[in-house]
Amino acid sequence: MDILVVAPHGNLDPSALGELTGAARLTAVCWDSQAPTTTTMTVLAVPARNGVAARLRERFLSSPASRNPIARSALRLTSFDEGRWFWLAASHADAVSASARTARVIVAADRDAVYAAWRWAREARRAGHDVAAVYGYPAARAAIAEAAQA
Amino acid sequence: MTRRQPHMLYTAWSFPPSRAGGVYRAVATVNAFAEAGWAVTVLTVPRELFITSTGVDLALEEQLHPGIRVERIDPAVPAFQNDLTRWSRSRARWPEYWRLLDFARDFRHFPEPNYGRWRPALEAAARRVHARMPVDLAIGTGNPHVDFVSGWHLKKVAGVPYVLDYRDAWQLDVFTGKKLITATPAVARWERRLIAGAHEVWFVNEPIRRWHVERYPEAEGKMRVVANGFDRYGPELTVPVRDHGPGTEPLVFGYIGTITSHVPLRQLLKAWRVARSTGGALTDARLVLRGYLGHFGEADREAQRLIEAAGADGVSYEGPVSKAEIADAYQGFDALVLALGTGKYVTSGKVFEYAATGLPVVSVHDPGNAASDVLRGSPAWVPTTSLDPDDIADALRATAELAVAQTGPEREAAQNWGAQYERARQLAPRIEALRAIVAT
Repeated sequence: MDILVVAPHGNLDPSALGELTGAARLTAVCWDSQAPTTTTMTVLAVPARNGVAARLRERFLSSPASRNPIARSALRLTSFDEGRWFWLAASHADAVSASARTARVIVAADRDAVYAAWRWAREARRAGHDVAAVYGYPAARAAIAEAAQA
Repeated sequence: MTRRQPHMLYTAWSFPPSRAGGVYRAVATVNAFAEAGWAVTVLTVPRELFITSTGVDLALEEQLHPGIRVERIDPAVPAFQNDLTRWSRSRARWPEYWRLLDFARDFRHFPEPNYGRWRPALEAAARRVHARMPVDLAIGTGNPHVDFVSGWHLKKVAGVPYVLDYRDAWQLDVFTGKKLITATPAVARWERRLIAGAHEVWFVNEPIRRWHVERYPEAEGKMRVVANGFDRYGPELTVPVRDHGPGTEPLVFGYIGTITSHVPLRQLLKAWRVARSTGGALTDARLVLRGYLGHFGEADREAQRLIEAAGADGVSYEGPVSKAEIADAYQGFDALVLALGTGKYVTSGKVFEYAATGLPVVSVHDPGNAASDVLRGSPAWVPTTSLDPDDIADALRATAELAVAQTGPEREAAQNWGAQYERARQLAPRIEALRAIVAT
């Protein structure tokens, strides 16, 4: 059983997934800059995006305006939102997309992982693939146990 | 003619198998009433809600008195729906905005985001329970504060007295001492209404009670402190003295509790490094952290990073521990670290359990915390004078020395002192008083 943990900021806690059988293969997808070193799972690092949009976004995030809660909330409505930004970057990484296609369980480890996990789950389901997609480790633990019994 | 058994209706969102901190007070309360001869019915949420959101402690369900009847009422709250395949695109893409719009479904019924929509189902369930077996007393434990409405509703429709059991506060931020941003005028109106109708209002410590007395002076007479306490689940919590002579294992300091952003973890780990580097009783000592990282099932990356970085200083994270196995966990420690968020209203539940062990306890929290009032007088307590890492380091060193020097009789004296905080001793006077109003 392939399990994909989407954790842009490296929030990985394999012990929270419960007892995994030998047949379980764990893969995590994180930003390259925040990918932890671990031997318990395969980590697919997503490189930062380049280009004009990336520079604009970086400029905003390093400006004083980024500390304004209203400005940060407004940013969430745009494609510069961290969740969508991560999805745009990760969906261009072939290894990540391939991993998402074969996953039996997709886990969003934090808020910024949700959109990518949701998109991959939707694409897999449209392709007729039976996939569970959950938010948070307790839900992942339950989904993995259920998938193992199926 | 024999009088029928009194019947208590208890409402608690956090109930086993939930592993949330407040659940232990709920378990202790219903068990104490059941053991005192009451019929007890509990209104709570379905088990699956905890399994797929906050996480569970399945062993805790086994601690419930067998006579307690549990009714699980689905609150249909999307905040606890973590199956992403059931989320709409707008929810996945803009979760914060989606949630804000969704709060309207709560506020229509009760001014509490995520939980308010439970009110109609709770009221219907309370009426159903009362029709089946008349309820003599209703207790609701908040938060969430929607738990209070079943008692309020039964009083309105059937004159049943009710008790509000506050584990924290509804309008007060216990960490900052300021009003919460969620303390809207609607919350103030509802709180006034609920307190006015209550037979008793319980608080976990005097500072929180005092805050409420100042706002509702007319209700002072019915406001009580029902402190938290330690529970006995299986083996005794008392820990015997270990030999610390030459050739024995280095000291092990332990922390048990949820590690949230309020816990001064960074200061603690920095102080630990400083104290350990000075040698003495802390040479090669270990600091073992047990408990969940964060409340809601998301790994707390910052806490993880700090703990990993402190690995070279003998710090390790060894995961959560079930309440049923907690006595075994304490057996492995020589001293305990009480690291808490700052706030004069903060007591925590673990302080009582710590006291029961008789182990030396080092307080790593603001000296003004309510937890200091609990431990003041303990022969095994070493408080830090501030949250400055140097002061914490001093306290850690003093605690290590105490851990090495504490004799068997001294440990026993500390355990006897801690025994005053057994939960049953906190609840017994209230159960007796409430039994009297039911009998009249």
